[in-house]
Amino acid sequence: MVVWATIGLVFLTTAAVAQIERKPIAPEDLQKIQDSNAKCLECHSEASFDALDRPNVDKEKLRAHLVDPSVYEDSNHGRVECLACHVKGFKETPHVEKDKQQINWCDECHTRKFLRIEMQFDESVHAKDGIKDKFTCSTCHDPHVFQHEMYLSSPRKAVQQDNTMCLQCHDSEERFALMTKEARPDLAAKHEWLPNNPLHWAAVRCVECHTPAPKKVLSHEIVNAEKAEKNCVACHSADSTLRVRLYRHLVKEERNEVGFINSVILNEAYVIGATRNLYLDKAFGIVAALVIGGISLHSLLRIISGLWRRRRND
Amino acid sequence: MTERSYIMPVWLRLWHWVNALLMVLLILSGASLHFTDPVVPLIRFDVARTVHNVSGIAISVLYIAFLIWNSASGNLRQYLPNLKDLVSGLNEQNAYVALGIFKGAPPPVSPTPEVKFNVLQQITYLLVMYVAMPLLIITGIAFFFPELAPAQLFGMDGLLPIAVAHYVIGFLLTMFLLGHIYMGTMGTTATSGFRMMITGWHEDHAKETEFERP
Repeated sequence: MVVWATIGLVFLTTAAVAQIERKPIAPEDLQKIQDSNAKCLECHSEASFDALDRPNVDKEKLRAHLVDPSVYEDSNHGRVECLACHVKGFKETPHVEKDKQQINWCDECHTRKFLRIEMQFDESVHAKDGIKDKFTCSTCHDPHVFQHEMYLSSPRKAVQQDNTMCLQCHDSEERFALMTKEARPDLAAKHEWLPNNPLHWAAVRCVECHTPAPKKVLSHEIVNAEKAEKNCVACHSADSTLRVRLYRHLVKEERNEVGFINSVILNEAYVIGATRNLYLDKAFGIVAALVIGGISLHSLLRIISGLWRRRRND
Repeated sequence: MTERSYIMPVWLRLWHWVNALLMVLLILSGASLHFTDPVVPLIRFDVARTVHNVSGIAISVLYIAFLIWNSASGNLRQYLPNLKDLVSGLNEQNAYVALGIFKGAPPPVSPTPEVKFNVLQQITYLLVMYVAMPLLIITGIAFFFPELAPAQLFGMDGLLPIAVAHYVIGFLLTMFLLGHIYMGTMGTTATSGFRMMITGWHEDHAKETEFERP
């Protein structure tokens, strides 16, 4: 009864956390961007690739530069004109060969963020000698695909997207070998200590543990196994670090009316120690106190009455 | 004069004490896993998890053995109250706990090899062993294999109802344990119940008291 009443209460009062909407854009501006991008996608889209028959187009080379229009439109850059990054030499077709490498890099637009991230990255395991130069933002974040977690409909999707970024190298001998000569660590063996591996990997991101623990908030400083978070209670507690990491954009939406702490996490996962119900805990505390108090009182009365009987019999 | 009768066979006593030990381990580790925040945690989270898993599996196996033993030995009938005497039996027990014990009265029902439990014990043990324990074990197994739990329920993680049910039942059984230990002191003497659960023999001192058993 208590169980179903609690669940019913939660069901009635806790709504699924809404996805954060992107900033609105004027329809005419959006149309202009879409029209401009449509010209690029005439060649650079998987849908149009097979039927494409243009002189001076090397289809083999083009195959490596295809974009899925629907994925691009959903991405963070979905409302950005292709030509905003692919600048000089890309307006003409075929593109001007000598200008092809001239792409506007991320820091052109993300200047302030870039400075902060660069400092974090310099401390990262990815900034070790020999591999640092092989890393750019797009090594992990494909600008045609990447979506910021706040725009994804659920933390689970953020987990899937972000972990795929890590796994594209860490789960591929071929890609890993392109970055370093070191042996690729066996992920399953390395994470053997972590209980219910598949569940953890579907519910939290690699970076939840593989970023510096004391800083709490997420960083681009990726840390190795030695420095990674191994304290279960970092997440499995009322003051769960998940609040400032995976769920940071949803915490504001949180409702605590039904007594569940970290109820924002509860929409996605039951996390022992982090998603408990305070009302239930308090009620049980009172019941336990009454039972222990009752037993103590009864014991005391038994002792007193026993002493009284003994004195009377003497 | 003291009458002795052999009430508790070896298997029952062994099961009882191993079960008791596992229950204590499960309560301590379960509380440590649920309340992870205290400044001084009872048991460290990862250790508590191992203790809870191992004890949980052990108590589940032991429970199945209990079900078999209890049925095969015929001990199961001890758990079934006589419905005709239900109300009067409960009244007797309540009167003893509320009043009789303070007057030095003997327990209204003394265990015999034929009828080991009073009505209150029969009802409580029946609920504990045949309702609460199976529910606790089923929800525990679901917790042990969380990937088998429904992904979503009522728009939330499917583990939630399982987790809440496991917690509620676990708490109720903890309260039972407290009451059970205390009721153990309410036999003919404060220690006779515990001695019986160790030796198997019940010693009836009732005739030495000034009270007539009803």
